[in-house]
Amino acid sequence: MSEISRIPIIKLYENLIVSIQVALSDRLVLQIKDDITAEIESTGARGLIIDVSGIDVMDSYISRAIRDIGLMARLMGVRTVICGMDPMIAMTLVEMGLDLTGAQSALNLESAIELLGGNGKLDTRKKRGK
Amino acid sequence: MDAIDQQLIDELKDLVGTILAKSIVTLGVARSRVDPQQPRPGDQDRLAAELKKGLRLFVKEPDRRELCLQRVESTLSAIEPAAPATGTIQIDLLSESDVVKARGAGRDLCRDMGFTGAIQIKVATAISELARNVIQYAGTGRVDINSISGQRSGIEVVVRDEGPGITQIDEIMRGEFSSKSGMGIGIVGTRNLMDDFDIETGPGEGTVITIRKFLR
Repeated sequence: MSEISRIPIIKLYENLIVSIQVALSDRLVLQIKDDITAEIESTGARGLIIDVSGIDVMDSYISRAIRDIGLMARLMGVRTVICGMDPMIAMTLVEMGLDLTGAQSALNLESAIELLGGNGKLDTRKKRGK
Repeated sequence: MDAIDQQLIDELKDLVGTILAKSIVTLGVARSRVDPQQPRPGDQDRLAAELKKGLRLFVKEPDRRELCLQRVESTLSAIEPAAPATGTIQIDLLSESDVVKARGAGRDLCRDMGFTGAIQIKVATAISELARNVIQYAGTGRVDINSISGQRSGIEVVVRDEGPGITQIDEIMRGEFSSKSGMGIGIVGTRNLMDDFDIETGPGEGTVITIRKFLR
């Protein structure tokens, strides 16, 4: 498996979308944390969507990191929605007694965008000042 | 005889075209983590579920989709799966990228042994948890993953290190720390995921953790 060094962060209107489609190494997790906070600051995004549909496992370290990202984003005034959770990973998290408080969840990317954008109508007029 | 993916593409290509058939099948094979050269027990169901998703996405006419589904089912039911695999894997834990390697190898062995998808993920999560502890607290160590047979068949994972050992292991296992400091959440969680969990550790003695999951 060739190691990927960065996960792209996509800006869509006022939201940032981070789609995790690879096996996460701890180093990559730290990189994502840094990148997301930097990106929130530079773009003035209002929402953050973390799509975990391609994640291979979610152990305590990874789930804590995702929860931390949600908390950091909240401190910066950004709402976080986690989407695309595999049912088998959800089951594993619950059995381990882990949860992801700090972020809302949505079934898929569409509903995550709806949650953040209000019925899917993305308001691009009010740009938050930088 | 052709590999499964080729058989499926051949069955579907006159209904949806070669390119679409290829995408649906390739994606389905990748997502269900099936080895098309050597299908194992349980693979057919997972592959069928993924192919169904792909067909629902790409084939909009109900009649044609139904026909595709029938062909997929008949192709898959004609496949003789290979016997469940057995295996022995040894991975040295030297850096954190070995954690990803170890959990991937464990998951693949589970898949080849015929464990369900949910259990594959549980075993991979447990390995990830224990292997990370090794890197974090002991620096280096080793993971041995073995298929076990006999009275009950299943998978056994032994994670060992010669690090400082864990103090207050009894309190940790009773969950007395996890609520406050987060310490031990991983290890207690791992125990909850597994059928068997043994730990030998003590200050300065290193740690050996053995976990097992059985095939029903």
